[in-house]
Amino acid sequence: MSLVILSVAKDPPQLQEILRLRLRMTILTIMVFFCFITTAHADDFDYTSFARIPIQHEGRIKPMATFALIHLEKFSGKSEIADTTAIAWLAQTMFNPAQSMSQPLFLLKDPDAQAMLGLPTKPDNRYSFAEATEAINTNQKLIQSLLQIPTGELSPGQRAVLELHENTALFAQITLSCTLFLHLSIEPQKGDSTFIDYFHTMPEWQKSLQAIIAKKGTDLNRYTPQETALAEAMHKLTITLHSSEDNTLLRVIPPQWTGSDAWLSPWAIFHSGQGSPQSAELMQLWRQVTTSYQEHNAAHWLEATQALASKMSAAPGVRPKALSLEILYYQWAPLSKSMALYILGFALTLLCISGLRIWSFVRMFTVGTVCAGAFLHALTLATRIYILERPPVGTLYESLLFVSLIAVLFGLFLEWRLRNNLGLLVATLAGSLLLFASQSFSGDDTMSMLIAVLNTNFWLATHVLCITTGYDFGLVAGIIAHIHLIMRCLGRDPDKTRQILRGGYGTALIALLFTSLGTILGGIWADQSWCRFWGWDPKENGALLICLWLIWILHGRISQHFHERGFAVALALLNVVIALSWLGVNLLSTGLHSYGFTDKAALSLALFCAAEFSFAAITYFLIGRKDHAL
Amino acid sequence: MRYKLLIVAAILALTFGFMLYDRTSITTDIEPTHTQQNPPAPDVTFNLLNGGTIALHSLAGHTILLHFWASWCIPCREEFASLLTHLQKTNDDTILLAVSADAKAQDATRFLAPYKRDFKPLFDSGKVILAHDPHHTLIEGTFQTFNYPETIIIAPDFTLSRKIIGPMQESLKE
Repeated sequence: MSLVILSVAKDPPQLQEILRLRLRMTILTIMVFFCFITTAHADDFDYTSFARIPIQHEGRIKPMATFALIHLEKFSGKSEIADTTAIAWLAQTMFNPAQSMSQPLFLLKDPDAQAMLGLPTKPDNRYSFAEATEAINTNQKLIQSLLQIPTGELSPGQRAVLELHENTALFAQITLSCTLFLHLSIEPQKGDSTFIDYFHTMPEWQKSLQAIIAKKGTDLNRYTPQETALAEAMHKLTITLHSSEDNTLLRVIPPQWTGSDAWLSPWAIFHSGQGSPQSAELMQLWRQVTTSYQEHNAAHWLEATQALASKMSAAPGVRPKALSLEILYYQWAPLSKSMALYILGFALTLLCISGLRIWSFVRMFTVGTVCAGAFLHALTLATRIYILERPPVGTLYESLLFVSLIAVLFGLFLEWRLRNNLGLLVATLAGSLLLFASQSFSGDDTMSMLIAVLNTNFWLATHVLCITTGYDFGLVAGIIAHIHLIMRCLGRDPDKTRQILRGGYGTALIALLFTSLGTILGGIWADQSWCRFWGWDPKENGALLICLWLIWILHGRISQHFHERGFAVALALLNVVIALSWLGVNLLSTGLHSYGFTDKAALSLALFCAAEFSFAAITYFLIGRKDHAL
Repeated sequence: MRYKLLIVAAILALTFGFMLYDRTSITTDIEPTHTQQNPPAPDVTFNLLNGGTIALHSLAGHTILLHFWASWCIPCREEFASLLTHLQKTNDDTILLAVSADAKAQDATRFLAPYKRDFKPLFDSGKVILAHDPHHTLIEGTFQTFNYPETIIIAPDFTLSRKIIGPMQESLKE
């Protein structure tokens, strides 16, 4: 400890740098400085109001419940851990970090990553912060070398190691976010004994310590008990101060002075000088929340969290109803219920078309199931529109939700008109597959903010809705072509299958209308944003490719160059064109549409294309052989 | 055929209508949507350095420079003279309420002694008021000032209009 005291006294900037590098290692030490009155879980606490407290995270004001859920899922892959809800886990991490640090939390499944870090294999593959930090600190050189490698060249194991490295750093930010309000174990005790109570005495204490060092040197054995206590106190205060310098994650204080929309964390208020009498009230309430948790006082906790949530509900930019709705949205998870209903609907539809004698109420039940799924699906989108205040097509994930809903509604429309189970099959297949695919693109926060270039509700409502509706009808046309090909292979009535394909033809025409219109609108938007209508960008080329493919096959059909079998196969392959244009171009990581870039789902996309090509080739061959035999 | 043409015409009209709306809304988007009102200053009472108290509210109607400083703070020491010179030059109704964060009142008094002599008319005019908050109850607890110097400008309508973090020489030039 004497070394640290010396550096504090002589060279604070140097110490600052050392601490920044070794923050995670230091954090375990820092926690020893604080008095944690309670060691038990605060299970009897009411977290309702705490969950409603707004926080600005990644540019969006969201409820604390969402912030907790995002981080717990990011670290552990689960929304609850050891029977503790996400919000209770967050409260514990913020107000009793020492206990959270020893809990198995970080999920590390990759055996290579475990071996690289020298971590023991565990049944649930979860490691505590203490374990993970020790492993990371032992392998500092490995981490440094991995950070030099481009992301695309990292192996899955290396990627998992870096992910753990990032997650532990993020966790460290959360644990330090409320150290400003935690009780410090410093002698002599002052006021509530938080950092602020001691802060203004630091210059005086530092002067005294420097005088002691000048007189007695750095050997603690030569110090009197009072001098040792002073040295220890300065050590604790200085480390707490420096470890909090970059602590900006918990943005719970609205901006107090004009100039920025960014909210501030309690430590940022302290360091940046952005405080005001209004922020003082909020800081006081945060202090009460922290104290009531530490003292395990459920009644005070409820009172303090209610007061804080109520005070914050009046802050500029905060919409209390939207916050409550968002909490309900994540608690109730209507999308997964909707997906379950589509899967059930698909199974029932298969029963309906199996040719078995079934009662008519089974079909009605199937329609009811799909309608219920569509209702929940639509409710999800409506909720998201209300919360985000924009059309629901800002990200790849959102466009998948939107496209799947339109496909389901169109399927139900087809069923209403044709009453031959085709619509049900289209609706349930499109609904369940697209919602399942959307899970790969959900990211940490499914309600992420739009990047600046997309931040215009007009273009989102016209170009993006138009082009995604075009993709949608294209996919439905492709699914209809699949159904036609399967039925042909199974030797079903040619008139019936021809009628199905006619439906596909009509749907392809609608798809062409929307994709063409959407592409032109996109060009106009590009002209406004980037000052050119067309730039042969991968995304633009993808949209054009869909239009050209549709024009080609529709003209081929009209001019009779394509016969039934060829047209059906070409229409089925439209799904591949759409998948590549919609999702595939984002894998290229080039062009101006950088907001959609992703490195996820490359393998799934390759497998999907391979499966589609195989399906097209096999059905083309089988139908040809059947036709030849006839 | 006529219906189809009508549908196409309707779609085109809708699109261009929206585009026109968007073009006009671009200009309104960049203007502030609402003017946030300045929050009121708190009604607190400071202890004066030479004894007695002063309620902040009693200075309402003047522009108040609520200046937090300490004698051990080097930038505060450096800027104090220029702050007083500026006040002396200006003939407006600005009042400097300088709140010392020193633990001991003597430290602040010792530092201020030469200034009181050099700027006697200014101190006598009541445009400079010296307060002291040794326990930082108001400095930290109410005004959330943890680093020095910091200055809050309170408008004549007794609202908080601006905060200057660090020395305010540059702001004085403005």
